[in-house]
Amino acid sequence: MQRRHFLHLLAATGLVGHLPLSSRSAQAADLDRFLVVVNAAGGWDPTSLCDPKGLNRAYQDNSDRHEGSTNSVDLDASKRYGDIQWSAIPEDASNNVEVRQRINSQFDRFFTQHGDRMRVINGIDTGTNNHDTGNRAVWSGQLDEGYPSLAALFAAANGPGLPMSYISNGGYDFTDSLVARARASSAGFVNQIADPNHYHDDKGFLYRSDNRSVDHYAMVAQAQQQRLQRQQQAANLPLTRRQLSQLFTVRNTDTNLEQLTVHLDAIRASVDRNQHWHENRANSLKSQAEVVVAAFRSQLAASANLNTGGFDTHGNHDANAYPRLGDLLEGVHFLMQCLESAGLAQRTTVVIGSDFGRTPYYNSGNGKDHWPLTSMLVIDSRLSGGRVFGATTADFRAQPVNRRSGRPDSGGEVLTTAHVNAALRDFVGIGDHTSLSPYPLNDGGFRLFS
Amino acid sequence: MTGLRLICVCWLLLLGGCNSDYSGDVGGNSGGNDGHQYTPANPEGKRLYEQMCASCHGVSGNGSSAGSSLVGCATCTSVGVLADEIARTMPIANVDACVDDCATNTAEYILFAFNGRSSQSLATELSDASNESAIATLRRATLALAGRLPSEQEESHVLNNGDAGLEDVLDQVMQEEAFYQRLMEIYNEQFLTDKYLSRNLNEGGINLLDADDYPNRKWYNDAYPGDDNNDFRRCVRNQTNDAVAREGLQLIRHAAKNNLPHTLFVNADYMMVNWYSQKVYDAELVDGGDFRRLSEPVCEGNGQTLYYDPNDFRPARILKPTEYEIGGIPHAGILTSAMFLNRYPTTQTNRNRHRAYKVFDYFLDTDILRIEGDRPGDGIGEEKANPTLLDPACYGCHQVMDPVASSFQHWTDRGRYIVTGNSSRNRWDSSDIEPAGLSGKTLPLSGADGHFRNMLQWLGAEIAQDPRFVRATVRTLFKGLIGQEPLRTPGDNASSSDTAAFNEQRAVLNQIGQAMVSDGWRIKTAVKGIVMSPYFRASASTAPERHKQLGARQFLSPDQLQRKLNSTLGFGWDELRHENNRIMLGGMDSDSVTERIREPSGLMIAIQQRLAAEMACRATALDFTRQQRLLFPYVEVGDNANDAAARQRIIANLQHLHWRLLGERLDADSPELQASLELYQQVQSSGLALLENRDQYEPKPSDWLQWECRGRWQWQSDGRRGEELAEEQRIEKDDSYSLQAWQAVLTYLLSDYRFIYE
Repeated sequence: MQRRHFLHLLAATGLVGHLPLSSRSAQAADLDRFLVVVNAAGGWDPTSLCDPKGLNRAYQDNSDRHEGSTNSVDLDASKRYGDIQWSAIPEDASNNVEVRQRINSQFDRFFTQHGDRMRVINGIDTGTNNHDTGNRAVWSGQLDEGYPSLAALFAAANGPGLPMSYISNGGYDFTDSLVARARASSAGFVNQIADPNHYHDDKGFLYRSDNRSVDHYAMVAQAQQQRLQRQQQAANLPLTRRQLSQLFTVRNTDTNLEQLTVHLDAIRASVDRNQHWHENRANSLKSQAEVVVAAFRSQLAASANLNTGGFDTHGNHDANAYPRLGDLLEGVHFLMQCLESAGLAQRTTVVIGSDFGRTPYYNSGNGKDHWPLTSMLVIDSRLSGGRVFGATTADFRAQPVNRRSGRPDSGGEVLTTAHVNAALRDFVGIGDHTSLSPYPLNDGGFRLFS
Repeated sequence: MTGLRLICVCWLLLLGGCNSDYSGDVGGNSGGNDGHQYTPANPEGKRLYEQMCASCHGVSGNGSSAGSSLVGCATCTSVGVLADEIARTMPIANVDACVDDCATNTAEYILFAFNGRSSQSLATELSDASNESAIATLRRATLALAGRLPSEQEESHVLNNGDAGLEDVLDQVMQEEAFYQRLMEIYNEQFLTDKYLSRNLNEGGINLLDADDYPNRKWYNDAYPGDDNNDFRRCVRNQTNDAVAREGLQLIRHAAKNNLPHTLFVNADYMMVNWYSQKVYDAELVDGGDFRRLSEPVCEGNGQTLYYDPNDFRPARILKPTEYEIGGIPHAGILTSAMFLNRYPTTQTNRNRHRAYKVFDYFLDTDILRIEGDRPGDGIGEEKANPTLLDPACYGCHQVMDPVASSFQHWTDRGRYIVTGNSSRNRWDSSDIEPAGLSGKTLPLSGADGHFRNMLQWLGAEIAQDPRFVRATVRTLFKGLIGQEPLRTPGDNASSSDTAAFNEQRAVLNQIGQAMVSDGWRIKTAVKGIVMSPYFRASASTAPERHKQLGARQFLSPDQLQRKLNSTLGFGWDELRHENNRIMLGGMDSDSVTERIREPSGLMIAIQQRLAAEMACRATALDFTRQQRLLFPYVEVGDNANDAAARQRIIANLQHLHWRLLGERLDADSPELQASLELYQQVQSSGLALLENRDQYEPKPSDWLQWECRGRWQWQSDGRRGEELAEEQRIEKDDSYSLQAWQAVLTYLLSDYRFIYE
């Protein structure tokens, strides 16, 4: 059903007042900026990524693994872009040399190709070692419940009326009812559902002629809508009426999924998702990424959570964490390629983070347990690249940093998730938006993105 | 002012009892037959209440921001229980100020004024609301509890015996394995321990166990070594891991299945193992015996087979020494499960407080974070040396939470059992935290009743006796079955309708909890109580303001939807095999996606519509090939709606479909049935016209059904294509356009509100 017909129908049935946030009518103009947050669920290890400490032997009392060092591999001076230092890949990451080489190239490619517009934020004290709380703190800036996620706030401020305004594939996605959530992670599936009656070669499961002069599915759709109206009129419970009204409206709203598939096809034609991918490995992050970019390109969504798990590496840390980190970076690299292909790379901010960090020493199972310090990575074309803000000590503990330079400074302050989120809000342009007033954060005077 | 506020807070916490508590003595005797003065109101009790209680709990007992509601409160079950609570804990600033007669008078007044009337009537009806018929509830209940439709015999029993018959059938349904699986599914939505299932994380549960404590944790690697055994070993590994991951939830199944008290969930002095996980722990079966073997192999490959039933879980104990402890593990239900302890881990600084928070939330129906008080915005407070004990802003919560946190002291961040002590690897500084205990009761450390080494067994026993555990249990079940949290205590400015709605619901849930406890803590009694309650059955209300949340229809989760497809059509949708797709449809993975989306987005509705089109295509012709048709028992291929006899058959079949798929009993001349008939006619006549003029259209209409829609294969429960039908069985053409007309009707019905909300 076309939208104008739908609105006429709504007016005729007195249901205009039931239009949910997902109606596009409130959308005044095309979106100019987008936000993607990428959540490494489970608590990643910054020292295995962008805050490496090498063979520091700092915890010989705590662990006999790797002589009590934070990492099982030493720092490599060649793994550097500007101030950004990243981890070398230890042998324990895999017995297979080819796998290690793959991970190594995933790390190198990510930092060298995107380092010119990347800001690494190290030494963020999450104030918790709990998954739920950490996830909430990192993505909302507050330990307690009640604050929407950064991406939810961005969508609420920029495109609350979009059909899939805030795409969430998991992680912390509390919205406080400011905006609707949609989960969209599988490109093939979205492609498939865009036209419910599509079988193949534009044929339907139910017959439809090419010119649609005969369309049996349209008969079904019309009957559905008429029944929904009758059901609403007959409903004797308020909750039932609300649900029916919501269904009626959502079903009639032009979700424009067809556009999404058009752009998805274009992205797929220009970006090879298997270029750096072993076909036997899961690649859900790439699936999520291409759908999100197509949704941005179709003006269906303003922000998104991408989510990938497996970072809770209490056992065999190196063998579990490094391949996961490699795949994470590969996935973000793919996201950036998709954004480039869609012409959105200059208009999108990408933030990467995780619940918290992991201990700066290995446990008896060669794993690493929870540790409150973490890092975040921000990629944006407006940033001067190769810079790091914030710092940890040589044994991976928090330390005060200068509010302007981000370098260690005893007169400064330890960076927290509240500081980072406050700065991110300003950076993505929603700091002054009225929808944020119930959720104040103190930026502590830090200038993370200047 | 702050002091006064704090006093009120403490009223809340301890009569918190009263917000969130039930009594173990839940005979429901507030109707006035226990010798106490309920009617008229005890005047002295009224005076005392207004003097000491009303400022926090409200003149009408509905609570305020400073004090919880006393309507249907957990300790509001008898004067003895409530008076004892008051005498011991109230008022908090001077707990000796209201004891003996004062406590009794106040308790009598509270029970009369705020609880007397609400506890007298059975909780199956609400004023100003009416329930659906017993037969309608039967259909929804069998789907909700066991993922199937009722049998003809069950329908007949309920039609003949009404609500009593419905209760009989529910008792039977709750003995099915599908019900126990559903029960665990409901509890996993809260506990999220399915995160560790193999489908989410290889060896997710096993890797949580310490290799030094459980050297056989990966026994399958030694038992089935070598590349040749890869597939077989993978199967055994997954069975083993999933048994470990589900050990906590299996306690619920065990208690329910064997009519044992649900309190075993927290106080069982054993764990649950099957043949596969027993080897992991080297655990000893409590009752000995052999594990059940199935007739079909569970794992098979490389010439090897295993027949042990993965659903045969038995109570067992870990008695062998672990790395640091001799004597094994002092089991305390799920509290000592490595799955629970790792899902809610701790750290050196957190000191089990997160675990305590979850214990209060999940088992004691108390949200610590909602405790009123002046929590410092920066989390630092007054910078006292020991703020959790000395700073009043912190102590309000910590005096409640920390005794429970201390009770977990022997369980490390990774869930290992290592008793604390000066020479222990597991250090515990008790100088800056409350000693182990619960609700003002301190755990005895030594002597005949000492529980130093088995603190969680003591805690589990206390929880099992705590009246709040009753409400926590009912809350979990209510949310699982109704799809909503129970209503929260109305705030200071709540409307009278909201307050009335809360009181009404509280009374009903209170009764359900009491019935469960009176029936030996059988969880099935609570499930049945919820299903029979107006919150599951209401179909109409004349008080819409008060009944805003009334009605149990909820957007089906992917798992529920798959079960419904299987029970109605006979097979599932293959797209729901993929986790990404399930998550897009609002599902969860218990790991990073821990919450179901219950309000559908445009995308989710689009998925539903696709499902309807695909499944109608696959189901229609197939059903006509069946000896026992599920969907089209009254019609034949070729029935034309313009033929009078055929039309009657079509109408009868439409009635069947509306009942089978949507739970609607429709008369032949009802508008809804006529609308479905009209759709059938419309598509059939249009289709016949197409076939007569097939050259005028592109693509050219054909007698042949679309390949996917042909009746030439079976379809499996997970949606994959099954065996091909014998050639003579197949139905692949439709020159009468009756099959495609039915396909259109089926698409229409499968995308209906009543199908996707249940």
